Amino acid sequence: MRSFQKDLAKLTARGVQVVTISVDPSDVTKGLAAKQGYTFPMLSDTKGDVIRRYDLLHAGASDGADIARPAEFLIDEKGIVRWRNLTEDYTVRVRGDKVLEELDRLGR
Amino acid sequence: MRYGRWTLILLALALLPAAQAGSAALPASPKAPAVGAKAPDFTLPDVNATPVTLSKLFAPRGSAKGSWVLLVFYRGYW
Repeated sequence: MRSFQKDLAKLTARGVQVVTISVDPSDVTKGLAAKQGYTFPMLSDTKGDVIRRYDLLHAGASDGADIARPAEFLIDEKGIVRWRNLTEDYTVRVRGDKVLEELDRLGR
Repeated sequence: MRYGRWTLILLALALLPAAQAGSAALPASPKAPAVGAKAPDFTLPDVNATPVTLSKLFAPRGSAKGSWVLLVFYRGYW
C-alpha cells in the first residue's frame, strides 16, 4: 500500500481513486493510516461481508481469524472490473507502477 | 547412523519449499469478480466511521469525468 501512496498523485491524475478494505476495525486502520501517512480512504469490513461477496475470504488465516486475501481490482466508472490481480502468494504484492502500466494498456 | 545427518539435511531441504508455499499459499477465489464483470456494490465505514459507497465514487461531485477506482483488499490483523 506504501507503493500506492507513493504513486497516488499519478493515479489521481489518471482519474483513479484508491480505496482499501480490510477486516481491521476503524480505529486500528486509523492508526495505520496515521503511522504510514496513507491519505486514501481505508474502509473496515469487520464482519467480512464484502470480502466474502468478492470471494476473497481467507478463513482462519491469522491466529484463526478470517481475513481478506490480498487482491486488487481496477473498476471503471460503470462499475465494471477492467483489471484484477489475485496473488497466489501474499508475500508478492502488486505495485503502483504495475497498475499505471495497466492503465496505459487500457488507454486510461 | 552413518547417513543420518545427511538424510535429515536432505529431508529438510526437500520440505522447505513445501513449508514456505504452505505458509504463503492462499485459497482459490473462483467467484471473485472477473474482468468484464460488475464489481459488487457495497457501503463500508472509513476511519472516521463515515459510510463510503462504491457506486458513489464513480461520479465525483464537481467533476464531469467519471472516476475509476483501484480497490485494494489487504490482510490486516497484523
